[in-house]
Amino acid sequence: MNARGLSGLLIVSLLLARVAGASSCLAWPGEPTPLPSRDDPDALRGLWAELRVQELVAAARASESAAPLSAQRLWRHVQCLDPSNRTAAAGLERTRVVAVARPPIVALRKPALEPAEAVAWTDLGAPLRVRVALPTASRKAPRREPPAWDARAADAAIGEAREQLQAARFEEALAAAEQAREKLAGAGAAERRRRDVELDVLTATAQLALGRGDAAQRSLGRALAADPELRLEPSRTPPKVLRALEQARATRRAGEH
Amino acid sequence: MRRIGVMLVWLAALVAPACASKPPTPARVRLELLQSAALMSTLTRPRVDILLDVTRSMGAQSNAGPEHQAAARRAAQRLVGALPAGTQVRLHGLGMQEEACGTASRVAEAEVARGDGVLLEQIEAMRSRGEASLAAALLGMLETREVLDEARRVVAFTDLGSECGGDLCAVAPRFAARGVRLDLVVIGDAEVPACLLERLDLPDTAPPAGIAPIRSVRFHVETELAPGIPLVSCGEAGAGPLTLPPGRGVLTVELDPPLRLERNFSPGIDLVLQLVDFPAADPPVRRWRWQAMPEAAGAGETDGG
Repeated sequence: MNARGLSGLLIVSLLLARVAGASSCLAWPGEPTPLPSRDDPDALRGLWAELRVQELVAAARASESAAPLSAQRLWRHVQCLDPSNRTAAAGLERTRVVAVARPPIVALRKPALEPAEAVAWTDLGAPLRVRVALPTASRKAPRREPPAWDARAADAAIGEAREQLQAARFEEALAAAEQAREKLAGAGAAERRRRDVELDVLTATAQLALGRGDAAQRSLGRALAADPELRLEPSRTPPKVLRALEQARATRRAGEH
Repeated sequence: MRRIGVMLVWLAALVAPACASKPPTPARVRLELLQSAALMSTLTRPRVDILLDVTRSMGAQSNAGPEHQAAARRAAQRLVGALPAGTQVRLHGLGMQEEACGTASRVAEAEVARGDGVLLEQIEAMRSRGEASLAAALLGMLETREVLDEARRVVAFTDLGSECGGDLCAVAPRFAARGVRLDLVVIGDAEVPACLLERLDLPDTAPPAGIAPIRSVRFHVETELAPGIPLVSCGEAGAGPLTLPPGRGVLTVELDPPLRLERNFSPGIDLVLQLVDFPAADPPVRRWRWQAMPEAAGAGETDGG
């Protein structure tokens, strides 16, 4: 295409764009036709456009939270009346049909003052301060007498955790395992060891099902610390768990060397 | 024939009673009101649909340590806690059914009240049971039609896990067509499809629903039909011209407060009163000008206000 053809195409494109822009700037009911703009050569129509912009900006701001897409209509109309209005451009960004926020996650390891009350919609992307549980060893809990050791109650609690796991209720299985562990308090080392290992494996299995690979590795690491020769029955154990156990064993060996 | 017609008009003018007699060359006036129009009326109560993703992938740990699920819960609770009292909230869970690829389940529906922790507790208690498709769940939520969809927001707290498939790019235009806003709060590092990052506007430029009706503004002109015989002619802004006997008169636009303008209405001249009225502006603005067609000495453009 030669230069003349190219410039002709450019002019046609500009004209089409102008027509498209104009068609989206129709007067609303009760407004003067054709729709004036702030730089209208007619001063009175220009004044109307200026005042109308102020009115629409106030209405758009008022409805932005509760009805963002109604506000989008208002912001677009403001742009028709005042094409260079920056407030409208920013408003259109805020009132898009789909908005995506990705709040950064901040771990809180000890209680901290929460920031001032959140603003419902503008804070969707603000940092999320999430409490994480402290390791049990570092908690300074008041000294309590351990409950009397009850092997039957402990085994029943472990059975409950196992049932939850078999029913694929993984969160419940984790909670039941935690409760069962509490029932091991007061048990002798020998009585406790086997049950602790079983609970660690149960916990790891649930964690793997929930996609918490790192947590599962920690659970299996504890199990291996209690029983370095731990072997799981391949016919009754998901391959994912068997692989995770071998990985934990490898990590443990690497740590020993 | 034309001469006979003119004679009949004059004859009619002579025999008609005084109040109906018209001057042979009347003045004409009309009102163009550039007003503060189509203001937003009160919106219906806002409604928020919260979709909390509790599918298994949400159990993954974030780089910072906490699980995605804990972060999503925290984000949803923060939103609920900050919503204005009176907001209608529906809480949905994704992945709460024991299905390989289920749908979203409605967990609770409540009106946000100050100090009300019911919804916060519901969010805390939501647990994973299975998998579900985020795209399908979002489309399913559009099946509920509200009185005013534009006063509705759907907020999804999710890691964008796609174990059950579904095209999120197909979701956005459907939300635009229905006029429902979608807020996606992405927990974790999953890549957001580019189609969701592009600005998508509503497909039309109609005024928002809930527009106040257009104000109909009337005006009247007091003139004299003959010395000592008053005549009041009434018209409406935006309507056709009002025909008057020529002479001095007072035009009153029935605004609050009324605008009264004294003026000479010349025979054969079409006068247009162009008036800008924004009583709610700070400070209130009222400006006007007269325009005459054809231009006549003393009847040209004059401004006021």
